[in-house]
Amino acid sequence: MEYVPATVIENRELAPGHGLLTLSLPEPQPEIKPGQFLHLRCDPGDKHSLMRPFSILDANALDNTLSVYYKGLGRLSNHLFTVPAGTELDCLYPLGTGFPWQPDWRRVALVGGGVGLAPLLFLARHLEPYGERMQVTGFFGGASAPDLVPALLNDYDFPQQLATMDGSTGFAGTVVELFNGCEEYFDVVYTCGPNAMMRALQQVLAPAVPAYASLEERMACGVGACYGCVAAIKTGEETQNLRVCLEGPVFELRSVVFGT
Amino acid sequence: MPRGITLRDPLLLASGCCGYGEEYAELVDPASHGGVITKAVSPEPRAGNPTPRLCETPAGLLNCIGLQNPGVEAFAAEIMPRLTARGTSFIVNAVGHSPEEFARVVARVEQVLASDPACAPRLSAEGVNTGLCGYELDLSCPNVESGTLFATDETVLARTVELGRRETERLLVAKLSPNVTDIVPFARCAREAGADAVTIANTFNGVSIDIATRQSNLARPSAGLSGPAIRAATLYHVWRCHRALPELPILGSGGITDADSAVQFLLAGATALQLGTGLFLNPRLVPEIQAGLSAYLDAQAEPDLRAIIGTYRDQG
Repeated sequence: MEYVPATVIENRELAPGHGLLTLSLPEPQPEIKPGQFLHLRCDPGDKHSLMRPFSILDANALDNTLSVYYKGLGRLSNHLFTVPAGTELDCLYPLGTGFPWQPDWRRVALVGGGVGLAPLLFLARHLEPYGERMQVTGFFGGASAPDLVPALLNDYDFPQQLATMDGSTGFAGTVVELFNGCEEYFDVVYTCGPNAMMRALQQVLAPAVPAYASLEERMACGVGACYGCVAAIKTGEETQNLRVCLEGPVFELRSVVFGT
Repeated sequence: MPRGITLRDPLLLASGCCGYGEEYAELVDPASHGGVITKAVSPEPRAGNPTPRLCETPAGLLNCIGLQNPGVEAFAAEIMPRLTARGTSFIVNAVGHSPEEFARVVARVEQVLASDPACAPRLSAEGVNTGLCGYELDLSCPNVESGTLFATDETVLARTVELGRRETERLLVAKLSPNVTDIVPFARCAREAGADAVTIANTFNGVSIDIATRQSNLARPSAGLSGPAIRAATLYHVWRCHRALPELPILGSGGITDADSAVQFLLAGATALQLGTGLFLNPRLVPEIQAGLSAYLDAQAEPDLRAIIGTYRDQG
């Protein structure tokens, strides 16, 4: 874990309200695993606002860069669109656990929506070197076609099944309806997105398939010190409030007790 | 101070903001600051409140964590030996549902100290206290039922401090609530009941409403406000307390986010400082404040920090 000034080398609006930020980090970059996240100071002039957590979309150890896919959801994430290349943003990273993965999990399903696509796309990129031995399939959903940003998704070669609630692209309905019944074709399922989506997936998924969810929660410290970002997780017979930033953000999907 | 301790530095990490002293250790070298005040420890484990537990406000942070903690048995068996072995100076923040429960936490920790050599406090070659240095009674948590009662009812406050005092000869600090018109009677009450020092203060009561749903932005209708937003109001309590009770040591806590605010708390009368939300804003806060304090002493031609404590020129 490091707290360092990161330099913005590119900040591109992929579509209205969707951005791609590429940061250059001081050497040497620690190992970064898909599913981990960073805490970023979105406005370097605002010393009185907390950093914001973002999933890491990609990391390149060769040139010490990492990228973040973000949406303008609040004051600070909207401010990010205005940050020019060359700006230094304080960055605390890498945080949290990553997605577990085993070499015999060759048929991989990614089920996601919204900014939840970011850690799933990082995992897909991470598995690319395995070539045809690895079969990655994406099931990505949104309310409407613009939510599934082509400028982001077209950068990846693996097969992608899309779902939109209004039917403007792909399957008309939820991504979980699209995925339902497909799990027998996969060795593992990874999911990230709105809680309602992950809860629905939890309900339809057959028990035999390993499944992992990356959760999102409001955070303050990002390192497990404040206990602000807990999720209810079943551990054996009991349910515990575990910290999304430290023990998570990745948990076994079936262990997560989603709120109603 | 009757039961004084010597720390490396006047900067401490505040309870509730640094976990159990280990979470920030990779970022903030435990040998670089005065010590940590642990997250609250209660007699039994507590699950805390549901989420959302956090809501940011202008220059502030509302929280309703709700004292989630593993309980004193797990704390004493698993966490205390590790903190002691690391050479961390730490103060245990104790909490309970009743004055007796506060005392139970102190008594149990004392029992473990007496029986487990791995938890024995030490004195370093430089004369610094390491390991367990004392207790902070969390009399003022706003996020549990009746949590602030212990610091806003003088009878309950006095009994809680008295019972805690009976269980230990070590440093005993009363963490007071800022949600009072005048903090002086409560500070006096804590001192007369046996507290060696007071922490001024805990979070302020606060509310944040989602105007679309007209519901709270947190899991509870109200929560505790920290951060720069409460700095001036906390400083007021520190100043008032120090003017009225100049011999009572004060641990200042509330919105310290830079050297300037740290100096203000010292001038107002604090003898030690606690960093909380400021660490979330800036994990480099400890060395930045230390450098700023040194620069301030040089610029003011003062020999050390003791020389500036309580030197606020409030008469002009």
